[in-house]
Amino acid sequence: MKSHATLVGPSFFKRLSQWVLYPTVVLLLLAIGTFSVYAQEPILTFLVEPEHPVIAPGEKAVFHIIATSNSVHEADDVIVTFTPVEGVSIEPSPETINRISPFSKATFVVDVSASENLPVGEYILIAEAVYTYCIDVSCFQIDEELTFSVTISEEETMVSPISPQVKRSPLRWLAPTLGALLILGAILLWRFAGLTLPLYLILVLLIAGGLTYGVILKQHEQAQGIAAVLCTSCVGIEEARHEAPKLNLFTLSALKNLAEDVELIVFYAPWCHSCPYAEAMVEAMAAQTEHITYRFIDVDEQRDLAASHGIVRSNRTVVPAILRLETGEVIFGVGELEERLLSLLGVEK
Amino acid sequence: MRLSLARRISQGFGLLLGIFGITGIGMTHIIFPGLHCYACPLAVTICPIGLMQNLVIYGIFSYFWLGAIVAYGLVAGRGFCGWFCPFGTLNDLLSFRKVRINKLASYSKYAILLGTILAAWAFADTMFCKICPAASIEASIPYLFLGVAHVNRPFLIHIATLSATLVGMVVIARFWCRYLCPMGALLGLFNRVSFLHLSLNTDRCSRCGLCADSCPMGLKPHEDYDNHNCIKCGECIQACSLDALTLRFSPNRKP
Repeated sequence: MKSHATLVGPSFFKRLSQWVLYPTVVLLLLAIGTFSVYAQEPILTFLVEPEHPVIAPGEKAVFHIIATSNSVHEADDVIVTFTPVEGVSIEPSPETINRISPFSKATFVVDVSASENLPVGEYILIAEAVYTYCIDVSCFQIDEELTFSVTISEEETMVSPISPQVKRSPLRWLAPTLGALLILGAILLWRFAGLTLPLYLILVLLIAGGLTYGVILKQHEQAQGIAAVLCTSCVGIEEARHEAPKLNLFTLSALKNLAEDVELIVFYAPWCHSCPYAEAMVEAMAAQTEHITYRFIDVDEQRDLAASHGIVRSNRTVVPAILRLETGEVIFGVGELEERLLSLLGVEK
Repeated sequence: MRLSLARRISQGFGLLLGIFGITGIGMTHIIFPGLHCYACPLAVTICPIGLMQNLVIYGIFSYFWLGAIVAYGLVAGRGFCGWFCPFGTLNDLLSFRKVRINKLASYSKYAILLGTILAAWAFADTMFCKICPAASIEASIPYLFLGVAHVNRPFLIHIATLSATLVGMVVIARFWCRYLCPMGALLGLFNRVSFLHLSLNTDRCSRCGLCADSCPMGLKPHEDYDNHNCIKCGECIQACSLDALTLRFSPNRKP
């Protein structure tokens, strides 16, 4: 006797699931592959000013490489080194920028001098920008090649910024594409040839390989780190704010009249979306009076201090949190931060 | 042991793991096999959807996340929705009207899963968490009482999505699991290869339809027992007087 399932035959929805569900698997895998390609994305962009440095033979010129952060992460140990070009001396200063804060800028001043007998023409300068950034325990080193041109001529320098061309390896696509093709092959074999073994083998390989390699890369700790921090804006407890804080007139006057010394600590986490706003608000207030001193502390670096003030409870962290050391009072998040900070400072409206 | 009792005990373990932070052990490295907000003050496990969004935002390819999801998918697929997920348990408690599933609409959860990934990438933020009803119950409301959250626009959005979902659950059994859950979509991708699966003995089946009437997901197990929406809860097995349906744990899925 035939099964009822086969008597009914492939319904419209069964066909739909074949043509919608399984392509969805492949799409998801490709999406994951694509994100892996974009993993370790540069978090800095580099601009050169002026656009076309023009130097007369035997003369010196100065141009700037401006590194701009587009990320909530801090870039560390930023180094720009140039490939030597005969007849051209290139000296960037400083040699290393130790830290570029989230959404901020830093500038390398580059002295370029051309030897007197250097033929007139356009010269391509190749620079290598190297820096690191960390998300919890995972740190990434970014290595970018920047190219731009210098003209040796008697003409005057033209001033306008230019984005150097960045070269990336096409091999970055290879591993995820191969992985996705393998899985696609296994799914096709299963659906259209009824072979389940290749699919099960690939899935078991994904489990064993994924968990083992993930643990080797300490991704389990990374996952724990992400989950252990309550970023107040991330789960929708309040809205993230990215604008530069503006103090109102009442706040400005209250801060001018502040009589007692206050020490504030802003606890932050690298991936906290609202933390830069909380930091900027404290900075803006402290700029109005000498009675406020402040520190920014990565909560992972001083967990004991954070725990003693309820910022870390049962291994869970709530950020941003602003602690007033004298009283031990803490405020969380950035909602109505200006008013709550004034209240923390003891100012009554 | 009756299947329903075994399932209630298993769901109890799911709930217990969900609030295990009450012991003070804090966050572990375990990815939860269901929808459970890691922002919950008592959570000790990681929400796979919340983590996935963070990984997309930071452009990290997590082998650990992939390995865990494939493991859960291969072991039980959507069985975790029926047997373990605390939000699924809440759906269960409100399952009064076991109406037929709209098959086309049931694909919307895959769109929500893709939308969750795309929104995280486009806005560099965990957009789904801001409307997730599990986060409403497990984070927004507890943190209101803990003094961290306030009644503001994000809080009201959470309450609105939670209310709408609760109404949906009352009107349609397992409404969230059927149409909206991105975690259900993720596990659903593995439902037809998972070791835990429903099996139909067609020689015994009389096509009476009692199993279809009992199914909280509104499926027709006697016609399509290997559906991507099946949460393997076993309600149909208990409803079948001819013992035509069984729950099996094996890579061999032939009836």
